[in-house]
Amino acid sequence: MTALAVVTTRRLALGGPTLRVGVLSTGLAARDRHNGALLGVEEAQHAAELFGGRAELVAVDTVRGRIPPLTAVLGDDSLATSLALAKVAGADRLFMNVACSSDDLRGGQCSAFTFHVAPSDGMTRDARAQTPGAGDVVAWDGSLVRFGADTLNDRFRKRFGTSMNSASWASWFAVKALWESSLRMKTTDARQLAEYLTRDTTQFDGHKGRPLSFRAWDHQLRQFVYARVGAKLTDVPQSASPETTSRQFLDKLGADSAASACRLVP
Amino acid sequence: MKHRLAHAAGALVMLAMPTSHIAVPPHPMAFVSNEGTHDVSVVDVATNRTIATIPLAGRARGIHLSPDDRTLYVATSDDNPRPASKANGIAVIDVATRRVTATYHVGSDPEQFALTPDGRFIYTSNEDGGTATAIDARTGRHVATLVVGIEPEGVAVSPDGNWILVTAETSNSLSVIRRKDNKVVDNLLVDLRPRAAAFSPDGSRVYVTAEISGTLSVIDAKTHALLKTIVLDRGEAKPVGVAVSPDGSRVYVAGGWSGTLTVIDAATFRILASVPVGKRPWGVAVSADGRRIYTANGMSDDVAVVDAETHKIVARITVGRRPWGIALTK
Repeated sequence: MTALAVVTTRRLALGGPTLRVGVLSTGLAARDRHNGALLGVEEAQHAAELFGGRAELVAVDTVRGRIPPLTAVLGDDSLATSLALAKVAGADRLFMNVACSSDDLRGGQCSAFTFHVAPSDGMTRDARAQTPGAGDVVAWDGSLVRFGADTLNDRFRKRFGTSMNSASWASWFAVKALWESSLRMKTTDARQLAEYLTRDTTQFDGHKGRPLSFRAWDHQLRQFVYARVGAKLTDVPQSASPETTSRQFLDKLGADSAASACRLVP
Repeated sequence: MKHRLAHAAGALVMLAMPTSHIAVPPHPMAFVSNEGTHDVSVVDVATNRTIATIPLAGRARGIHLSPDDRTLYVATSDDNPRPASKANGIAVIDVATRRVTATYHVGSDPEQFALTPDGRFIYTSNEDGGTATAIDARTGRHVATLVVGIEPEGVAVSPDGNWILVTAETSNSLSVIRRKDNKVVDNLLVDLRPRAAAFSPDGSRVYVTAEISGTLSVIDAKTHALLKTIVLDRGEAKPVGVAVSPDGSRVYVAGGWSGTLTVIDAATFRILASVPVGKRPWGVAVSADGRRIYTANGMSDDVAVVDAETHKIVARITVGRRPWGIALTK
C-alpha cells in the first residue's frame, strides 16, 4: 500500500496520540468517500483542540506494496480490494469498510479487525422487503433533517459544495467512530480500539435518531437505512414495539447471529 | 379557531392600551417561543390562557427573561439556516409593551443561550461555527468568541454567574467557560448528543441530557467528576430540556420524541414518574414556587401544565405552532 499524500494535518501542542486514517482513492464515489473522511478528520482536529491528540488523513492509491503506519484505512466498493484489506487488517491497523456491501465479506470471509459501516446487501434486501414500493435504498441522503441530520448536511454542503450521500456519510461516520473511541480510550492502538468498538456498551450518534453500534458477531454497524418510495424517503426498519431496544430494533436488518456465517463470537 | 381568537383578542387589548402605562403584570406570566409561527405566545398562568402573541422575524427557539422580568430575549433564525439571513439574532422584547426594541446579531442560526444572573451578559451557542459568543445584554456588543465543541447547543450559567457551560452535540462534549476572563477552562466528554444543561439551585451540580444515549448525566460542578448516569426508559428515551425545582429536590426532563416528562428525585436519583405530556416536549420550566412544571410540546402545539405533587396534567394551553421553549416570570 502506498501513501500518496498527507492531505490535512494540524499539529497540536496538547500532545496525546495521533489518529492516522487512510482513505482509498480508488473505486466508485472516491471523491465522496474522501470528502466524508476529510470532514470527519477536520472534526477530529476540532475535538483534539479541546481534548488533545492529533488527527491526520492520508490518501492511499493502492492496496499493493508497503503499508504505511495507519490507525485505520477506509476501503472502496470493490470486493477484491476489501478482501485484501480485511486479510491484512490486524492489531496494527483496522479496516473500516465504508463502501463494499458484500454479504460474504461479513460472512464466511469476515475478519476480527474489520468493521462495516456500509450497509450489507442483506440489509438492503430486508429493507426492500419491509417497505412496499421501495425503490433505492440508501444509507444517507442530503435531504434528511431530523436528529441533527440537517446540521450535518449543512456542514458538508458548506465545506464541499455538494450534498452528503451514502458514501460520504459512511466515511464521515467511520472517522467519527474512530476519533470518539480514541478520545474515550485515550489511545490510537488498533487492538484496543477494536475491543472498544465491539463492547456491549459502546454506541455512537450518526444523526439517525438511535444509538448506532457494531454487531459483535460480524462487526456490521446497526443503523437505519432509507428506502425511497416515490419522492419520499422512509426510515427502515419502522414501528418498534415499546419494549424493543434500539439494538433489537435495528437488528431487523441483516443477518442475525444465528444466521451469520461469521464466527467472530463463538 | 379558538386559538386564533385568543391571539386576536390579545392583540386588540394591546392596541387599546397606552403602552407607556402598561406595567409588568402583577401575577406570573409564561412566554412560549414558537418555531412554526415565528412568534411568542404570552400566557396568563393564573387562567392558563394565551392572552397575546408577539410576532418575530424568524423561527423562535431559545427564550429567557432578564432577572427583573422586564426584558424578554428570544433567539430567532431562518427556517432554512443561512448565515446572511436577517432573521438571525436575539430579539430583545420589552415585557411591558410586548414590543421588540432591538435585535442583537450573534452569528448564524442562534438556538440556545443563557443570561448571567446579573442580567449583564448573554452567552449563545453558534451551532455551525463550533463556538460560543458572549455579548453585552444591554447593548448587544460582542464581548468574546470561544472555541467549544462541534455543533454546540445547550448553554447554562451557574447561579453565582461565574461559570458557563456549553454542550456540543457532535463532539459529545461539555465546555466549561470561566466568566471572569472568558476562557474555556475544561472540556468533558459526556453521553451521546448532549442537548441541554442545568445547574442545581445551589450550584453544586450540573445535569446534562443526552438525546441519543437516553441518559441524564449528573456532574459535580466543582470537580467536574461524573457523579451518576441516570438511564431513562432503558436508554430509549430522547431527553432534551432539563430544569431543576427551586429547592433542588427534583429534576425534570423533557423527553422530546418520547413524549414524556420524567421526574427524578435529585437525592436518590430515582425516577419518580414518567408523565405523557404531548408530542415532542422540548422546553421545560418550573414555576418559582415549584408547584407547576410546564412543557412546550412541539408537535402538539400546546403547553402541558403538570402538578409537581401529583404528577398529573392540570391544564393544556394552546399556543402557536411548534412551541420550543418557555420562560416564566417570578
